[in-house]
Amino acid sequence: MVKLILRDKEYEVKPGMTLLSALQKISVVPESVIATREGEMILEDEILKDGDVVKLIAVISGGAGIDTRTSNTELRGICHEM
Amino acid sequence: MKCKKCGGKASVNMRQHKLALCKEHYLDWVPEQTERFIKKYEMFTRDEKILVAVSGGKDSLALWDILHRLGYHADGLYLGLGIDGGIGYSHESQRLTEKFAHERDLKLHIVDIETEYGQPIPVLSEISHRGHGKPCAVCGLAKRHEMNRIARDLGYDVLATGHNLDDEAAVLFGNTLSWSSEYLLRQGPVLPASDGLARKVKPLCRFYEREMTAYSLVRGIEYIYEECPFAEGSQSIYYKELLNQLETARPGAKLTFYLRFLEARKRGDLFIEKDLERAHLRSCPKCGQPTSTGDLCSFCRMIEKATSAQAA
Repeated sequence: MVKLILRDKEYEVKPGMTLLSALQKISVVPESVIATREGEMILEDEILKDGDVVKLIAVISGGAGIDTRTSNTELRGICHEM
Repeated sequence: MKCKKCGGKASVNMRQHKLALCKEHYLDWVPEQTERFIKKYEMFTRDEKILVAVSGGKDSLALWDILHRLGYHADGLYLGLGIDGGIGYSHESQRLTEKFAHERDLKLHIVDIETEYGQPIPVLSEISHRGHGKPCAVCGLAKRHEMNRIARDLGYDVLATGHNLDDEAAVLFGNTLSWSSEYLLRQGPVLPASDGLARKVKPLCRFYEREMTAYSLVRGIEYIYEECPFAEGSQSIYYKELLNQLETARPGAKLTFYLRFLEARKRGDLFIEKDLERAHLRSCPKCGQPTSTGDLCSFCRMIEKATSAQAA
């Protein structure tokens, strides 16, 4: 199996699929994360192998990287900068 | 995927530019593009003194790093907000900022809000009853005020912030949803100097947030990964995630949204003339910064209120 880690959540997908397919499978928006394997960035066409551990780094500060169409994100205050 | 420049293994793919690059060429590309934007939007010259607002996050530290690599005279400003949130947020972000500056021998100014005004941001927010139970409104107000004040007091020509394209697109999206014409007219890569205040610039405004994360990772910049504890669930984050869903389906959508807006604004296609809008701003009698109230600015009113509440 392939393990994907995003913040405090862990997901497992079958090996042999691309990173893009894996992200779609676990409802993570590809644009919202950067994937690393053994400390190296990997791209969406990378085929994931059995035993791979992929760390997903959320690019939106404070963002969960999840697909909001399938989550219950609640709208709260806005944080203005500058 | 292969690097477009050398054919080696690509590490970063920018679908909106149809450009994939290896780490080495990506590290060349980012400063080159930054320099191009600085010149295109006439942000500053090599003779000017730049103050970079640094928070310990990836964008502001990356900006400082890029300007330093490009050879600009850029010092840093860190504002101590006094936010803990159970993770020592301000303490950790200050530590990382100081470490960054020390390792590169850069000049960093540190201003602590509690030392200056008697209370940290969360307490100022409680006392002043602004922001509907969250300190974000007071935090934004205080940051803008202090960045302006310090840039002016220390004689900097330019104040640079690390806002990226996702920040800009999210603000634009929010202001478009509510048709906030005043805010729309003010948004842009450069806010000209006025009334003794330094020019404000956003040299990273055309880079995606993803690109700045990649830059920080490749450059080995240690930044605070956790966002401010009060930002969780905020509207701006929600808008960014929505825009990223759009971007995934339509590569380049965010960039087009922002650039077409800038073009329309430049042509004067948006609502009213700039000068008419600016005519509504006056100087605060206490601090001299621009305000639309005709009396004390929002920040000075908040501090007065907090000071009298403490004295009572």
